[in-house]
Amino acid sequence: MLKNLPRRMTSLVLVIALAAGISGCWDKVEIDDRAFVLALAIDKFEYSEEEKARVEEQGAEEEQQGMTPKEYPADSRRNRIVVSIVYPNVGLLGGKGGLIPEDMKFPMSTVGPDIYECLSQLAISMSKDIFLGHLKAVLVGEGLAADRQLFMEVLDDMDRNSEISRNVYFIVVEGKAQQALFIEPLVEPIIGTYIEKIFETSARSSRFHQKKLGDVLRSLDIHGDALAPRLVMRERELAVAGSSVIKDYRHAGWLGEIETRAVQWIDNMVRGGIITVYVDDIPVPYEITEAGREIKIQHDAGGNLRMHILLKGEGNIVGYKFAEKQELMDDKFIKSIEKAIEEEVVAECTGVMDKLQHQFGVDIWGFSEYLRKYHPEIYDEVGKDWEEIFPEVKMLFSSDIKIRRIGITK
Amino acid sequence: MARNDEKITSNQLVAIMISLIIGIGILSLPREVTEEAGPDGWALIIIGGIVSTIVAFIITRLGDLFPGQSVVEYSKTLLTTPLGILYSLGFILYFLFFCAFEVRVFAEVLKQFLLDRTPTEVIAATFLLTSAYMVRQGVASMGRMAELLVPAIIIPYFLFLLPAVGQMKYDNLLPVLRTSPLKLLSGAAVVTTSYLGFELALLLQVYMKRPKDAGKAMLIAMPLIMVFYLAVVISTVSVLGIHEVKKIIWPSLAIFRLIKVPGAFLENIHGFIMSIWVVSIFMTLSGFYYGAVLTLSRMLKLKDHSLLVLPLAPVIYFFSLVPDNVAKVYDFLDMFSMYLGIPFGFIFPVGLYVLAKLRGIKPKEGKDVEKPAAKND
Repeated sequence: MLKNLPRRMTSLVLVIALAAGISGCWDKVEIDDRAFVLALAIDKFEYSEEEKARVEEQGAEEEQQGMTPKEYPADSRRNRIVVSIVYPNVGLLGGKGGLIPEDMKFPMSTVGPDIYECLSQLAISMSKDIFLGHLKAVLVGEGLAADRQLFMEVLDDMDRNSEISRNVYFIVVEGKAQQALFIEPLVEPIIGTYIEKIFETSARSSRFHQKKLGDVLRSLDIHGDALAPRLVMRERELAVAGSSVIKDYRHAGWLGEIETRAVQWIDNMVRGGIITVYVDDIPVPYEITEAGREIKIQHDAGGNLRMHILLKGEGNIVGYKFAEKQELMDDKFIKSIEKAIEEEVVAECTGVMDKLQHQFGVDIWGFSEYLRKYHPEIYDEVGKDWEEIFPEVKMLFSSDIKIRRIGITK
Repeated sequence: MARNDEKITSNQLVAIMISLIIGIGILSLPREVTEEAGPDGWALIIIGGIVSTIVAFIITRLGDLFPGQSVVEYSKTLLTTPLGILYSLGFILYFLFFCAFEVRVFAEVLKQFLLDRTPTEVIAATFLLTSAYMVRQGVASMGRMAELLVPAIIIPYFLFLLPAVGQMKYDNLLPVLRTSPLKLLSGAAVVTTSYLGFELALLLQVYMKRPKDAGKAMLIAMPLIMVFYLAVVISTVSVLGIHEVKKIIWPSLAIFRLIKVPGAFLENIHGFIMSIWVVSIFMTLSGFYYGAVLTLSRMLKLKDHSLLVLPLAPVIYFFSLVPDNVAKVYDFLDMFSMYLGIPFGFIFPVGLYVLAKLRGIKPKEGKDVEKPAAKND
C-alpha cells in the first residue's frame, strides 16, 4: 500500500488536474444573460405620408437654424423590413426588482434588410444575448405578407432556423405588426404568452384558423397556398379572429370568423363553436360538440369533376326564449331546428367555397393532396393543372346535424 | 493479441451490429427514401433490408468456410496475395472514410442544434479521442458496451416517440405502392447503403466464442434494424408529410421539435433525442474505427492492435475536415456510398463467397477454431 503511495498521489493529482483543465463548455450562457424573445413582429418598411411630411418639416427647420439637415434613409436597399421584439424581464420572474408594469418587458424595434441583420442590430443595444428558442408567436404585418418577395424571404429565414420551434404561432396582423406587439394589453401583459393562451383556450370556438408555423410552412410547401390566422388589434387587447388567405406566397385577402369556421369544417378541423339560427325570429344558439366531414369525388356525365362534401355535426341547443309556447322538448320541433342549422351550415360552406374558388382561386384545403392520397388515378389526370381545374370543380354540400341535448329545462 | 484474446458472444455481436449500423444515416434516411419513392419510402427500407440480410448471412457463411481466419487472411487465399493485400488496404480506406463521415456529420449536427459556438474541430477531436479510448480496449469491451447501450438507445427513442402518435397522420403514406417497380428497385439500391456496417462481420466472426453462431446473430440483428428504420421512416413521414420530409436535411430530428410532451415543463425533447443519437454515433464510429485498426493490425500480424489506434486518429480527423460545407459532405457521402460502400459492403463479399464456392473450398473440419488467426495463414 505505502509503496504505491507516490504513484497513487501522482495519478490522483493528474485526474484532478485533467478534470479541471480539460473539461469546459464553449456554449455556456447564464440564464439571466439571455433575452428570451417571446414574440417577434415583422413589417415591411414603409414611410407613411405623415412621417414624410414630418421629416421634411424637421429638415426645413434644421436648415433654418443653420444646421445641415439630417439625412433620412428613405429608400436604401437596407431598409426593407422592420423587426420588433419583446422580451420579459427575467429578473422579475425570479422575484427580483419592483413590480412596476413598465419593467415587466422590454420592447425594441429596428429597420434592416432581413430578420437576422435586424436582430444583430438590436443586440448591440442590449445587455443580453437574443434567444429565440422560447419564441411563442411570430406576427407578420399585412403589408409585408402582401409583398411576395419579402414574405418568401421571411418565411425562409424562419424555416431555416433551428432555434425557432415549429409550434410557434404564425399570425398575419391586420395593420402593422409592430403596433400589435407594442400594445399594452390589460389581460396578459406579455404578448407572446397572451397569444399562446388565446390559441390554447379559445381554439374550440373555431373562429380563427388553428394553425401553427409548421402547418403554414407545410401547406406553403405544396403549392404556395395556405391559410394563416389573423390578428386584430383593439384598444388594449388583441383578438385572433378569422384568417388570412395566402395565395402564391402572398397575402391575398381576409376571411371572417364565420367563413373561417366554414373552411375548417370542410377541412375537418372544427371541434366546437356556436351557430345561431333563427326559428320564427327567435335566435337559437347551437353549440357544436363534435363535427366531421366526408368527401366523395366523381366525374359527372360531362366528364367534369364533382365533389360531394357531407358536413356532420353533433351538439346541444343552449338557448331559446323564456315562456315560449312551443316547447323545445319535442322531437318534431328539434328536427325542424336541425334542418334550419343544416341549411345554415350548407349556406356558409357554399359561400366560402364560392369565394375561394372564384374570387381568390386558391385551394387552401389542399384537395390536390387529398386526390393524390386517396384518388391517385384522378390526381394523375388533374394534378398538374390543378390551379386551373380547381375553380371549375363542382362543389356540392350537404349536411347532417344532430341535436342531442337541450339544456336542463323543457 | 493480448486484448483480443477475449471473445464475444452471439448476443454481443447482435448488439454491436445494431449499434454499428444505426448511425448518421438515420437522420437523413426518411428524406432519402422519400426523394426516391415518395410515400412508398418504407418499401425501399424493406427491400434494402432483405438484400442486406442476405448479404450479411452470406458473409458469415464465407467466414464459416475459413475457421479462424478473417477476411484479411482468406482474401489472400482466394485472390492471390497481392490482390488480397490490395483488398485489405481498400478495406482500411473504406473504414477510415466511413469514420470520417461519422465524425463530420456528428460535428455538423451538434453544431447546428446544440453547440453553436464550439469549434467544429474541438467537437470532432474530442469525439474521436473518446472513441479511440473505446477502440483500444478491444472487441470484448465493445461487445459489452454495445450490449449495455443498445437498449439505452432503442427504448428511450420509442418512449419519446409516444407523444407523437397523436400527431401522426397515416394518410401521408398514401397512396400505397403507386411507384413503378423499376423506380423502387433503383431507389432500393441507394437505400441499401444505410445498412452498411454488417461487413464488419468479415472481421468480427473470428472473435466469437462460437463463430458458427454468427449467421444466426446476423439473421436477428438485420431484421431488427430494418424494423427500427421502418419505425423511423413511417413516424417521420406521417408527422411531416412527404413535401416537408424532402426539404428538411435531417427530418428524423425535426419531428422531435414538433412534439410537445403533455404536462412536461421541458419544451423541446429533441435534446434528449440528440443525446441518444450521440451514443449511437459513438458506437458506430468505434465499430468502423476498430475495423480499420483491426484490418491493419492483422495485415501487419501485430500481437496488439492498440498500438495502431492513436496513429490513425489524425488520419480520420484530417479526412473529416476535408469537405468545405454541409452540401459537400453529403456530395462526398453519396460518392462514397456508391463507389466504396456498395463494392465493399455488397459486391466484394458476395464475389469472394462465389469464388470460394467455385474453388470448392470446404470448411476445414477438426481444426482448432479458437486458435489465433495469425498462425493459420
